[in-house]
Amino acid sequence: MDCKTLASLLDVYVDGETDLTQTLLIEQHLADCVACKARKQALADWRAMIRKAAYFPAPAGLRERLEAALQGSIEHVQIEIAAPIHKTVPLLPSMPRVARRHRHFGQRWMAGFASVAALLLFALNLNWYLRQPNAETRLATELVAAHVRSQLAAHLTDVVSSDQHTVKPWFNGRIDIAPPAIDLAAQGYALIGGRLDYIAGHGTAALVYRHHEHVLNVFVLPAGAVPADAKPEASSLQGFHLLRWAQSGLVLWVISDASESTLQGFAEAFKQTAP
Amino acid sequence: MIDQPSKPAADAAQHADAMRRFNQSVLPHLDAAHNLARWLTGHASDAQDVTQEALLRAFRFIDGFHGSDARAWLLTIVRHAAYSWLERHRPQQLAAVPETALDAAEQSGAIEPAPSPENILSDQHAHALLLELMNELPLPFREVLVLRELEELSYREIAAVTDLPIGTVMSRLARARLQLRAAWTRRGLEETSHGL
Repeated sequence: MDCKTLASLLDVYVDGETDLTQTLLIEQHLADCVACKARKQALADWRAMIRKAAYFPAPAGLRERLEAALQGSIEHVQIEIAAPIHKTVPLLPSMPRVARRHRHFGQRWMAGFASVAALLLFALNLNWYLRQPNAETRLATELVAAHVRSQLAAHLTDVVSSDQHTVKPWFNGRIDIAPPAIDLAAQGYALIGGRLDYIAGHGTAALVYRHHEHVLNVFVLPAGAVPADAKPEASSLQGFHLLRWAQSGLVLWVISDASESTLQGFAEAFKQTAP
Repeated sequence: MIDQPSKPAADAAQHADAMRRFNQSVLPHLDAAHNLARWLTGHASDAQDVTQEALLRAFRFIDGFHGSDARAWLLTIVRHAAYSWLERHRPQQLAAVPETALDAAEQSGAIEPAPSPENILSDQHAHALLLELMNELPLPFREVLVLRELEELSYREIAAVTDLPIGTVMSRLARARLQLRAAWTRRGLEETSHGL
């Protein structure tokens, strides 16, 4: 190996990414070439300086604020649409909203307050759960909440793409299920992306489609999420329509404010096209 | 899966378990998360907001994490949070950069590493200059450089976090280093010739 070749590989070598053959040749050359050894040293110094100058560890206040936020985080989201008698229902840790910025979570009494609040919510919650007619309705309520939240919080998609080959792999390693992300633009339902969501205590894939002005959220759950014979398959809640079907070990729910026939059409197209 | 009336109790147990896993596997990478957020957003206070948002999301989705590399998983979430933030506040940062192979001139320019800074400038001055020059790199180059030089991720890990082919990671990294060193040499010479 000559000096020029070595110089072109030096960065990759110092990254520890050269293959075995290259590494051996480089190390042989470095052992008896003063100029290249000096180059390697200069490169190492340069990188050490970057590491020293440019690393921004988390400030202490951030760690404290975060820990407090998590401690008190049997959090709750306002679900005006689904909660009876206008109540806050703890469902999942909510995102800090813009309005909550710059509030100091760091005080201990906040955590104390939060746990009292959590207890209260617990009681309310228990009452709420006992009043729920059945698991199915409860799940539907959660789906509606998730659908509404997705459009409120400017958080419709984590991965924005109409390309199914982008959307589907994006979920790899993020959740256990491989959602069948298919583009149905030809049938009038354009895939606009996907999102991680949280339904029935599990991380869930949500696929997002657009049909005219309507957003359709498709939630992909493992088959165990609902009893196989649960009725009804189509339902409506708070002005949203829901439709459920099962395919290849998954339960899919589509939810939208579009008409029931629109959802039926979507489900048909999806079932025919999905692998 | 099917809720019983005792769900709150189960919830609390689940919450405690999630908390434990989060504290063990995710929270130790808070510094890495903040550092990446700081370099992607370019601002101290924004970095804190983005980091907090990302960590809370990580907590929410901890059930979905079964991998071995919590740091890469968290950094992926941070990167998404930072990009959403940039879309809202600084969309011009997200302009695409042309992906081309390094030409011969660039290749030969890559040969000499930057001069040792201590010989030219005071430490403090050198560090300030370096921060400035790194901030000037286009985002796609800056992020791979930060993930490699500061977080010391492998090429494969960087490819996973940024969702890019490994070849693209390598060419962006080479270009980022080249631009940074060229700018460093140019500016370093300017500053020393002004007797700073």
